[in-house]
Amino acid sequence: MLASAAETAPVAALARLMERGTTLLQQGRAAESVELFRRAAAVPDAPALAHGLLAEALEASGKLPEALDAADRAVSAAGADPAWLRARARIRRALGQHLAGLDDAAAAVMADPSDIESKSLLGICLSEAGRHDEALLLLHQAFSAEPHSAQRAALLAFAFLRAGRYAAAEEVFALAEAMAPQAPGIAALRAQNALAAGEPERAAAIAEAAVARCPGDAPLLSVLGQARQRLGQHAAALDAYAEALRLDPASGYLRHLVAALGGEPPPARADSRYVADVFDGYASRFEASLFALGYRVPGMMLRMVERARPEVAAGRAKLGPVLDLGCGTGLMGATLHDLLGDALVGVDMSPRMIEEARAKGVYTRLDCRDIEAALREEQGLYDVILLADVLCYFGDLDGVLPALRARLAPGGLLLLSVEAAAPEARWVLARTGRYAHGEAYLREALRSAGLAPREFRSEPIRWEGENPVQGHVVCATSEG
Amino acid sequence: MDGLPSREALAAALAEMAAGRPARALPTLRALAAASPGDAAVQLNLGMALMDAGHLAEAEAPLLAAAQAAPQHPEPCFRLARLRHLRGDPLAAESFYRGALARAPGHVASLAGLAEVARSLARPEEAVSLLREALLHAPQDAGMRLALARALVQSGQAAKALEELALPLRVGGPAGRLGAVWAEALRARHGVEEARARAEEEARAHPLCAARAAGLAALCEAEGRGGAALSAWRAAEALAPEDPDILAGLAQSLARHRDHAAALDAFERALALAPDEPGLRVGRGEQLWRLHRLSEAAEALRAALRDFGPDERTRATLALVLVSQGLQEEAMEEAEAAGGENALLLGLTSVGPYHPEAGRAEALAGRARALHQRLSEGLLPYTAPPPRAEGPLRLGLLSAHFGKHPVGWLTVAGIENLPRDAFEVDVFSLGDRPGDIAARFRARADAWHLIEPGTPDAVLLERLRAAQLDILIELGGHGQGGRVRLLRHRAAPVQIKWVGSQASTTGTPNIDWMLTDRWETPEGFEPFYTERLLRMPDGYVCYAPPPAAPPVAPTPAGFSGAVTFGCYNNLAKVTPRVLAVWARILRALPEARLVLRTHALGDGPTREGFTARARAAGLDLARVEMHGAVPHDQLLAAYGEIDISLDPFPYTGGLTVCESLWMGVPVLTLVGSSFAGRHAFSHLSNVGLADWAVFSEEEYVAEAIRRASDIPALAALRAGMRARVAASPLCDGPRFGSNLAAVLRQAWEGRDGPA
Repeated sequence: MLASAAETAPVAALARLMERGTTLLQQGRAAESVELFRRAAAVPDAPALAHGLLAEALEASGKLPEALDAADRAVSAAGADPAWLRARARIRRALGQHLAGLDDAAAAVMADPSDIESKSLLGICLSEAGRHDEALLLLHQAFSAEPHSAQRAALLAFAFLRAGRYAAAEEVFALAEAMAPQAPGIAALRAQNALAAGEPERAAAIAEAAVARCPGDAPLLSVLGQARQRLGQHAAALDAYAEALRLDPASGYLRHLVAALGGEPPPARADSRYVADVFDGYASRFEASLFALGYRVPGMMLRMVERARPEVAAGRAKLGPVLDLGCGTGLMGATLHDLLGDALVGVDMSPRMIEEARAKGVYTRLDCRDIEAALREEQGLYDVILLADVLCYFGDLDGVLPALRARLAPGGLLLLSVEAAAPEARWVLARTGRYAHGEAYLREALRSAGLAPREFRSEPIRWEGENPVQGHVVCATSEG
Repeated sequence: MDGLPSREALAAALAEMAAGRPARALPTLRALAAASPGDAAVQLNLGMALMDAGHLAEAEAPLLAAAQAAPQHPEPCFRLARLRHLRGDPLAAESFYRGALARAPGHVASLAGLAEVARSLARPEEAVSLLREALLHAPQDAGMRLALARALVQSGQAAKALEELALPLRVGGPAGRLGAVWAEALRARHGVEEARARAEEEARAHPLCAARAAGLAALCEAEGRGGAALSAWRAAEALAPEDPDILAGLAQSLARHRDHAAALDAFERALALAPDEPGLRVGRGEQLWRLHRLSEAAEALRAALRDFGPDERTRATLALVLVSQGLQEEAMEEAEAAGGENALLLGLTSVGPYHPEAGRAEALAGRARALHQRLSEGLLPYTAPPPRAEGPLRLGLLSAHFGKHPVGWLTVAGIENLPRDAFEVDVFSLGDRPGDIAARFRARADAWHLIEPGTPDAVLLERLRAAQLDILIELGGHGQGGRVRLLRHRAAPVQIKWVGSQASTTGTPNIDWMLTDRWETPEGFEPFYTERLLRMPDGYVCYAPPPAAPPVAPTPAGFSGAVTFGCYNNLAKVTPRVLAVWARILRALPEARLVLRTHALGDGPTREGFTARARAAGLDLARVEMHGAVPHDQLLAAYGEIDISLDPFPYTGGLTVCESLWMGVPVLTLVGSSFAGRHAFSHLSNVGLADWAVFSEEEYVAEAIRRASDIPALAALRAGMRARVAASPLCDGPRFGSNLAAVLRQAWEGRDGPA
């Protein structure tokens, strides 16, 4: 046992670290393997493999920032090794850095153009980025290389779905489902595709058949709920959501849907995970869908700011620091761009949205976190605070408004929009999963928070099908 | 004996001793010593062999004889000192060590021994100077340097200790021990958090140093970061695969992570390197037990007792193995022989309640009072958080079992139905369990505190107290992974014992209440409990049936024409008295059969022993089927094979009763006096089947015969059973949740009342 002394046999010791670590990783004991790879990677001139496996072990243990460091080192030590480029692409995507992930996936394909894994990953990244033609080409190549793989087929079909080519997607999803009838995920996506194609009945039929084959899958039941809801079968939709929630009780998304359909008392605000999940799935289509809805809030708010600050409107002055809460893809930032004279800070819970906002290049800082958490931690005072279409995820406003007022500089402007509930209601949770607020309650909540409306407009804020959605858009300042 | 053969025989014996097999040397040495009682070398070696084999008492005489035969020789004196030392008499040891040193002033081992005595008598400075002297004689002795460093730490000179350790850290030493002492010194010098950070930094700078990896592992453990510790032990093992201390650390860490197969492997590798380490032998026995390899476990522990003499922990573990084998009498003897607190704990929870006499409520209460007295010493002061004027009560839950475990199945529905506006729930989960039951607990929890495996008591207590709880419910008891004992120091103004080794009263100071019901503890049972009794209006648990349970199968007797009895409880509950009663039932019903199904019956020798006892009890083995364990869904499906569950006694079924009922099979139970003796009575009463509970063995036999003789009635009961159970308070989560809220509020309001 004295032979175990300090650093007597580095080659053998390093080999044992790598060998035992790899075994643990293969056995699904990633967390146990971390310290072995850490040591292997800390040896001078450690092999790229040590950094790469450390990255994989950390990724599997949920330690993403450290995993990214390790992947960086693996990539720089190995040059263009597609395996480590792919690992870094995965880690970056998990961290919400989708564009950087895309770059890595592309580099992996360049390093070895024949590697199917790399092509497939790049295809996924391109598809997520909305570059559908390139994505479809690559995913088709991956599928052709392994035509009996249900997973390759499903990935291709999903890219068709993202590209809005629902008929092609259905064809390939049907093929994938036939290859793997016991994989509930494929059926869930196929049903989602039917929903996107505007065929809720077919979506419900696909989901119901799959539930019969593989009961107990929460995502599948969730799609079934959506299909039924679209068909106006609210009770049946609630059944499906409630069953899904029972299987995945930690899902804030499902809990919120169950509450929205009356299956549980409504919470005072939407679960932060619900909001993040909704928008992560929505980010790239978000603006298109908002414009299609006739979304008017940014324009209304711009005009309110201009009326409140005529000298800014006239170009003789600029706005002070602006805080855009729930900035989404950065529509407000782009709208106010010409008036900005100081920082523009955006906060949103959805990493995908933040990335879209970043791409606009107008924000000085973007934080991916919950609004209430941001308000607690923010220290500065702002000339303008924006909440465009954000308070529809809050029912009770009594906590959030005072917190907003505390961050408003003297004479600063708070702009907010909500959907309108019946005038006598305080707030209600609608079946859409969004909250609406009564005018009297909104005015009272503002007053209690020490906020005085300069403008309080009640008018349509967007369209749902043929119907205008009534809302209140307010520009307020702090009292006294 | 002739000169030549005796010399050869002595050489052979010495070779055995050198090879680490002292027991094999003993017969020869004994014969030689009897032949020449005045031969100092023979007597000395006989004494040493006896000591090495763990026969400490017997070693005394030959060592004294050797000392008499060779009065100027230091070795007999030294050995006598070691003997006194091992037998816990440091003062006597001291004088013998000094005797050895008078004969040989540079006797290094005696200097080290004296230093050890000084250290154990809290004279660390003296230990330091003795070890410094010893190092002058043996400067290369790495073990001695580690002992010096340890003594320096103890004497408050951690910085000096770190200086001493610099050399072995540079040139190498026994990595596991070196790492342990280094960790102690770092911790004493910098506090645990800073020490761990420094160890991490050092590990990065010396990535291939096994000692530093082991030290980091120890510090992670001290800090309550058991997951990181396990990974560090893994690294240490990769760097020094032949170090028994590192293998032991890895094995213990794996065991705490409930990875018993891997832990067993590590213990066995450590034992191959250090076969005489008693702790490793017990550890191996424990893992065999956890893996249900019961007969091997018993053998390993018995061998350890033979080799090393009586040891409290070995006996306690053996008691657990024996009770798992269904040997309640032997287990109780072993538990009592273990002595001390172990005897009381085992007698109260893991062994006593299974025993026909020791498991009676009066007997348990006696042990509980003794334990209570013992645990009342040295309690840490506690200041309750100021009560809030309004708002929800802050409720803590502490357990290792928030998942697929009886505690999970019997509490989750109640917890998730606790009104959110009245209770904020802080879950303290000792380790993590996967699965949907665990997810349900997480969904209800307002805060989730993962307590990593192996977190020290002090760290856990600090975390519990930091949560500023109003009420704390403990769900683990004195059983495996339970930490109720720690709560004697109090972590909340109101502390309650609920499911989780809830076989009897806890006998633990500052546990204020026992959550119970009127069937478990009717009026008049108060004297059996050191806690106050907090009675739920229905049963004391709420069963969450598994969503994937198979449908209820038709009554098998409907096809076969004769009843099949079954018992799917563990063997610990099946006493010879139970077997005798079952034998009477089968004798009265010549067509009837009995199916037994449990882990222990999958262990060959355990099953053979059980079969012999069943035969002796008069059971017709041709009509008894025995099966080992099967996965849970198959176990539930196996209720399709039986018509009536025969509940064991005095420790009755708990979750097993709920599962049997859910699968349509009624349960016949004999009501006892202890908490464990009345589980089944509570569950049956809660679903309106109190008429399946009887109060004597005579009634048990008569009722089994009567019920078995009416197959149509059994079929009718079975057909409606699941609906009945589903509609009963046993499965009514919302009702249970609001009742639980009310009694918790009652406990809160009554917190200053009489104890």
